[in-house]
Amino acid sequence: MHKKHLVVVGNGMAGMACVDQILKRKPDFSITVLSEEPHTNYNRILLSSVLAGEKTLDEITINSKEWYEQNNIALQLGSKATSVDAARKTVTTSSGDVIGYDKLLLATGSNAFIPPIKGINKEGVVTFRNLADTQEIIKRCEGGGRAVVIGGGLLGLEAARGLLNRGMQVSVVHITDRLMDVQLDSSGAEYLKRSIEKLGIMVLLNRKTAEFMGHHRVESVRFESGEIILADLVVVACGIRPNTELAKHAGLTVNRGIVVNDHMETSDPDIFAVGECVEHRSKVYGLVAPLYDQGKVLAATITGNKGPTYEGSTLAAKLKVVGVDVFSAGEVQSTDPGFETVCYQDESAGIYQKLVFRRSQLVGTVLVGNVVRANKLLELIRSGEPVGGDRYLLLFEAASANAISAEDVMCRSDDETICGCIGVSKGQIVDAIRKNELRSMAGVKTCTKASTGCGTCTGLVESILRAVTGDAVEEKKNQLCPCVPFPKEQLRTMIQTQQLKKVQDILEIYGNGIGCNICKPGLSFLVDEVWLGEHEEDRSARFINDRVHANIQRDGTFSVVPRMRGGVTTPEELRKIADVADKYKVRMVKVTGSQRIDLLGVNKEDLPKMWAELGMPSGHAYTKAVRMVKSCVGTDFCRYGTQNSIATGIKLEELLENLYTPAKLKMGVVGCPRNCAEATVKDIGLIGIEGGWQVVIGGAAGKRVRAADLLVTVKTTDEALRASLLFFQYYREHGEYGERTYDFVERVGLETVRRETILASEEKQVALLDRLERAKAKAVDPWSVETRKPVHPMQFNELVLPTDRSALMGAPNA
Amino acid sequence: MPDPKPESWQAVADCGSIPLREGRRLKYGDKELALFNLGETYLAVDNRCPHRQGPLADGIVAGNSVFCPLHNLRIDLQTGCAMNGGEGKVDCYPVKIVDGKLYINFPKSTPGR
Repeated sequence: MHKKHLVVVGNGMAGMACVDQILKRKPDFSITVLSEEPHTNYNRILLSSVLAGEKTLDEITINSKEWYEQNNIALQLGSKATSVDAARKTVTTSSGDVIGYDKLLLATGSNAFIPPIKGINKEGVVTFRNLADTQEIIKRCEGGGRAVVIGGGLLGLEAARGLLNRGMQVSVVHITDRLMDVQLDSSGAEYLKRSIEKLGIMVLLNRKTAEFMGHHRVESVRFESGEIILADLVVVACGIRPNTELAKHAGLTVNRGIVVNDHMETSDPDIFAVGECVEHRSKVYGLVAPLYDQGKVLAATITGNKGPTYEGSTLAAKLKVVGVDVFSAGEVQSTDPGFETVCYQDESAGIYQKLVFRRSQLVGTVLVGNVVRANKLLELIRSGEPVGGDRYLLLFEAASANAISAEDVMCRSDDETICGCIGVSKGQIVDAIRKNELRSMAGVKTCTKASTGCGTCTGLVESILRAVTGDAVEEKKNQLCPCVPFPKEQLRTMIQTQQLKKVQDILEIYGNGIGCNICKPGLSFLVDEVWLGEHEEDRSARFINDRVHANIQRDGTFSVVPRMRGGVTTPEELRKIADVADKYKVRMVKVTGSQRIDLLGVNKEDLPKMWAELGMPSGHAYTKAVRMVKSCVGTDFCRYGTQNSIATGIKLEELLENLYTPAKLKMGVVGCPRNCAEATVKDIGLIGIEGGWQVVIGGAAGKRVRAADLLVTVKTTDEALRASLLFFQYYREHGEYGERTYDFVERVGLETVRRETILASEEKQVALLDRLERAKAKAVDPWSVETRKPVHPMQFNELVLPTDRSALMGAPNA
Repeated sequence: MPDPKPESWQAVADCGSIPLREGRRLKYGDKELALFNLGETYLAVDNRCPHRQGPLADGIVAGNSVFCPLHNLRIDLQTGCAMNGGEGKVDCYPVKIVDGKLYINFPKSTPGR
């Protein structure tokens, strides 16, 4: 059957949140989205954070292009809908395309209100509504100067803070006698004004702007009183107006906004509207939270599940200005006789809090200076639950504690809305964490979308995550893994003091007893490194590559890479390799970038036999260990060679081979600065120069390219090898699991590396080298053992059904 | 009441054939299974990861789950379902131990060797 075509006009938060809800209902729609702006959808609320330099564009992007592709949404960027023909059911775009629809969703949002002030079109007068505006403002801040913000509402104040961060001298001009007059009472506004002024922003109240003056570009602002202030940049933030042009032309009923009923239907049965462009029960909402509630209802209606209704939202607003906490919800202008208020003020602390009651119900609140109770109070306002007893306690319980305790969070009802922007309840978050075993905020955000709006509920969501997972929250802190939530250094100490030699013991004593694919190999490395090879090896904790000493390939086969020290081989070795490759029908023989030969497509069962026949050591080309030393021919053959790079390379490889490292470790030795074996992009490199060696560390030509840092220049080969070994062992002991030397060197700093290695006391150096030597003594080529005696009789085998039919039990197979 | 699914238990291996907290592959007719030794219990699922057909028998075991060695999709060995919000499912097979031998109950329609 032909799919119905849904055309969405507007790619903003409301439109896409609604599409998200529609997709959840697996509709039989093909969807086209027309976006006037040339980017994929972003979080408009966070534009002020972009202006303030706290977030980048990438960080506020909500849906990537891939998201549209994955959901089969045809996204037309930079495509403005210019008219709608409701009779023919078509939309015409700015490029002249006529697109037919079965259902049309208008999510056209609002436009910045541009007051009719003389000179408003002068250069340097900008609105603050979309990304392009934001980018223009940022550009205009580059030279510094004076910025004047017209409008002391939510957006104006956030813009002012951003301009301040960008180094401007900022004034905020407001037409009435109080800031944020829609959301605050006069006392609250007074407290806010003081906090704003403390930031260094000048606040000018009761000023009606008469003219933006200047020749070509704005130079000053004149008020009706005749007063003039200088301005290099003017940001107009005088509110927003619903964008209803398209709806009007389509013949829909439009008052201030596009009129919709409780099912989010407009006056045309095939046209729907959502978001800031909508008027519902005579109200127009200019904030994000109601959009999501509307979106859910609309999704039900449009997909043929008409039933749920939207009954309006309690307005709540939070100012996102660092250092100025303001929250407001519900009825705040408590002048009616039916209202009672409870207030708390602390002038020196800058705290003002007000609760507004009607009979026993909380109907509004203003919080300035401390907004810890904001979510709790909003929930109380929304639920309409009667409040008895000492009402002032609503302000004080836990009000001093900034963090919300896990108990407090868990005592709240499951229905309580935690993320007001997206409309996610505590119950939904808890369910998602349990069902998907979430351990990180990133996971919670992906699964529930909670905390992806304005971000002010982040603390609450974190508290819930912590409460549900029992503190096993993955943070970007210095820990191996949430399964064993300790920093590596602490784990090292615990392993030593508690004499722990087995991965499973560490997991059971200090971890969750289970472990995962990250911590098990990490702990395997750690016990090996701490006990210098005298740990109890547990193969089950190792990645498959380390269980069978080969690199697993995409089809489940393995690769065989024999060690050829320094990249030097012999005809005899090559013959053996060729014979083995023939005998085991190797699918490909490949010369690697590491001067080795790779035999690809090998079955696990064949590995021990092949290695026994090769009689060559493992090249460790499958694990976080010493991989190889690559070399050039140096003084042996090269007419430019200044040092014996071959012999030195082979020596270096022999000194370090078979040792595990935090991440793979590649080395190179070159006989002259022409650097033919690329030593300058290796973890450790030796570069031969006339009369000595340069020892370089932390180079990379992998995920990123990094030229190695010079650790030291020395005269003799022995000194060069010694410096390499010192760095090697220092990295082995202090690198985070998975951390390549190029990240390690940058993290700890080259000076620290030098101080702790080549410049360390003789005693310290000897100790490092001694530990290295002891570990090396225990490190063996795995195939030297396992070709004769595997760690388990079935180590390389698969299960084979018994051939003896008497082993069958129960009904014999037909 | 007769069992609606007649039992078809097949002896497949000795318990000792699989090291603790590891898996091993088992070919049975045109099927490929992964059998795991979880200490207290043994579990069997289809060997190929629903993501990119990675061999689950070669994965790292974590509790009652395994991480596919290719791209780390985590599979619950009791339900066969992908965890961590991943997608896909593998079939599970009942396992029992009698006299140190592992038996798997294959659906009756499964062709034998």
